[in-house]
Amino acid sequence: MSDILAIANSGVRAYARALEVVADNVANAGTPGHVRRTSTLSPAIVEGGQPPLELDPVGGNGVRLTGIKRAIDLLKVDTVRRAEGQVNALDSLDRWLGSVQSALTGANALDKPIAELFGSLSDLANDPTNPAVRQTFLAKTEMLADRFNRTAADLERVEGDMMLEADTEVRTLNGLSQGLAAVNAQLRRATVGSSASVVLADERDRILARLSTIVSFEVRIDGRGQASVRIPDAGGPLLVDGQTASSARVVPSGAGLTLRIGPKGADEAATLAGGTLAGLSSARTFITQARTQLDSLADRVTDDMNRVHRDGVDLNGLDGGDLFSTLKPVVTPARANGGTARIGAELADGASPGPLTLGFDGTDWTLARDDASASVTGPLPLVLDGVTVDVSGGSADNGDLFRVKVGTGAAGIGLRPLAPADVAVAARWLADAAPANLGDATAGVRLGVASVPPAIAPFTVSALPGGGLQLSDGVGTILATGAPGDWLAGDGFTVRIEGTPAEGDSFAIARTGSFDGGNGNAIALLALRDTGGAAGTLGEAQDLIVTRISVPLAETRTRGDIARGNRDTAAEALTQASGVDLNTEATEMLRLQQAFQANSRIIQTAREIFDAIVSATA
Amino acid sequence: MPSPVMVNSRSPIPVQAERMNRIEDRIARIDKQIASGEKFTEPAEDPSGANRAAMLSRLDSRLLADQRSLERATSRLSLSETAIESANDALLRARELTLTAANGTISADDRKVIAREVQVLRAQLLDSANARDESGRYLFGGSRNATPPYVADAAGAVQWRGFSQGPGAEAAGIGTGAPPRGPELFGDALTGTFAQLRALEEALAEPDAELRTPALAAVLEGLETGYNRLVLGQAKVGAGLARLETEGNRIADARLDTAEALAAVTGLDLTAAIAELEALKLSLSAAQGSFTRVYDGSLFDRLG
Repeated sequence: MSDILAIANSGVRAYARALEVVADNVANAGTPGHVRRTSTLSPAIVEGGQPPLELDPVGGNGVRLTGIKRAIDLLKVDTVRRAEGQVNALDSLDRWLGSVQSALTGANALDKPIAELFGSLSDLANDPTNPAVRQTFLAKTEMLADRFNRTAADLERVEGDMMLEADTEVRTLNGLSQGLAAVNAQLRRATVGSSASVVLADERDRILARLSTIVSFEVRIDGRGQASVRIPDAGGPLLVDGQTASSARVVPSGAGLTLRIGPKGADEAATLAGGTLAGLSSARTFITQARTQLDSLADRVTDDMNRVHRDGVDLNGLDGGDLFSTLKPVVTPARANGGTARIGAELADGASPGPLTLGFDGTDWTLARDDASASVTGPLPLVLDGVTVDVSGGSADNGDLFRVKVGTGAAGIGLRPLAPADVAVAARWLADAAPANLGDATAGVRLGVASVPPAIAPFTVSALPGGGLQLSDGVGTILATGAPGDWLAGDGFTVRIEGTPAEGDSFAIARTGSFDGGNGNAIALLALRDTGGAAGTLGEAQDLIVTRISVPLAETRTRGDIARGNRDTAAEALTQASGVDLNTEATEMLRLQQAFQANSRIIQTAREIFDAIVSATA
Repeated sequence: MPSPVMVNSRSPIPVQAERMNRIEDRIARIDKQIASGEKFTEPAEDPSGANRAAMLSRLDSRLLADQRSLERATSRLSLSETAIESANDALLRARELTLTAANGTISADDRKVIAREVQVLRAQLLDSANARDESGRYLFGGSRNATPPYVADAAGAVQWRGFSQGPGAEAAGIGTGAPPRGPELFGDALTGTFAQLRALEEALAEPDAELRTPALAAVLEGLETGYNRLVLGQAKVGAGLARLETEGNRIADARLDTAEALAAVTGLDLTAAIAELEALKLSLSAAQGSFTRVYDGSLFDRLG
């Protein structure tokens, strides 16, 4: 009789526990990372064998809850993690490529200033001596240089921000791996199948899920549920092994990023195959590429424009100088600075200093070369190696440091301090047929090597009897002879007569003087618009920089959509297997409730039987 | 950053929400397109279209610069034309005067009056030869156009001091847009128009009819040549103007074509965009409706 009571008691207890599991599932239906639990019931076996006086034991000994299981499918979990890694890699690449694209387009776009520069050059060719047109040309030149500087600064900032995000991600990664090691340690102590171990397993999977957003990894789960993590696959270095977590850090490598795992000196490189860090790594290759291309475009503009500009003659009759300067000082305050001082730096025309450092000792400033070979001390402004530094606002604290670097490429391009008259619009040499010429020959002239000692102007080419030509200087010295179509070398120029000159025809060659209105050099500068290098014309080269970002960005977005779709499908499949379905739980609850009620009923019946026996024997 | 996907009974809900979000993103993008009237707002939306748009707008700014160049050259040539006409008038009058002077019955006093008029004509011709453009540069001085190209020296001889060719429409790729060089209109120092007028003055001052008559005949011939030279110059200027006009028309047409091509590349097909917007709105409301029905309660709600 007491057996019935004991059996029913075990039933009531087991079903109450099972109902608790259902209640737990329902309560945690909205908890991220909660895996549906199922309770396993099995017949209870009485320890110590059958009682010796029972001859024919019938029935069992009741029921007991043998364990709580998580309804998890490890393969599906792994699929979701990988898909999640892909989505995050593409998302971060999308974000950073978007930033690079905005740095290259919109207000920073170079196509407009390039087109406007050539437009103003065209105006200059129409009106070579007009000071207003010359001033406009200089303004457009400065605008282009400024746009280059701004784009370069934006790209540098984007790269800096990106590195900052990579650092933050790695810090999170280290936190997660330490958390995982701690969970591993607790799992080791917990009984397998206990509710504690199930909760820890949930926590472990939660950490792994967050880890998968940062890097892709290979995880192994041992019999006790402890996870060991290798990046990015079974052949990579160990991030977490049992209760030890190795520290990870991210370093720039080549154009991208590398994750290094382990203590400094004994660390191993891990390839980044998925997760935010993989996206950041490939974003960095695009940023580096864009910066390099922008620099080479700036160098090309500087080289080409300066070369052609030097060939011309300005309004004062002097040879043209450089149009663009190629260096600009960039001041970076040290991170540890306590003060708010903003320092500006100017570079003297033509100076090319090495790296400098500006420091403040509480009373005086010191501007020194980084190799300590020279320095100046005193109140600002200070000048060293052509760099003038001055404070533009705020105040400095004792010990504040500022690095003064010289920007090159797109960061260094600038308009030289030129007056409108300094723009070399005219060609240096001009040739002209004498008004009395009878033949139809024309003269063409280009730059040549200056002779030593200099010849005396004016220079004349005369057609000799017999069809020969002779180039002579102002005192009758013959500099060169030849035939029509030959280049005749003079002092600083070479001249060619084309067509058929009549005997006695002459051609004068003269240097452009001050205030002359030729436009030869403006036309030569304008021709740079159509001069194609390896990357096409200047406009095409600038288009290419944008296209090299926009095409991968478009592709990244498409791939991101696909990856998100994959991730969602995998997540849904996982949820089907492991999620809490309220309808199922309700059914389960009804079933367990009925079993519970039936067992209570048996207890009641046992009591009634017991009462009946007691009253019968009373 | 999106939160990582974790096992959870409600994870169909974030997934559904994400799907609806995506539809909303597309609606927002179409809305932006409709508001701006442009097919893409950043190159990544249509890289090849953006590239083509960049090429077209570059072409347009170039055509615009060329147009300015042509306008400037046209104005310079028109001013040249006016100057040449005025020089022509002066030469015609000089020829008339020469013919009058060649008449044997004319008195010495009359010749003096004629000589005075010839001086005025010479000044008029000098003004025409030293005509300036709107920025004050001398039209017929070639590249040396800051100073007057024709200046009378102490002896009264007028020589061309210009050099080479002045600016034309080279920036637009046209080599014939520059005004003619002085010698093409007025000849050289020895036989040119100014020399003829000077010879006319000298002939008028010659008292001896025997010497005067052949001198006047030579001047008449020289003036005829000078006149022909001017007419030729005028024709050249006219041809240059016509060439500039043709080029100007071509550029205007090309700009129109470019604008059309640009509109085709970047312009939004409004009908298609609105149709897509309607379709998206419909599917969004359908998704929302079906979501609320599917996830509306569970068995627990029915348990009494």
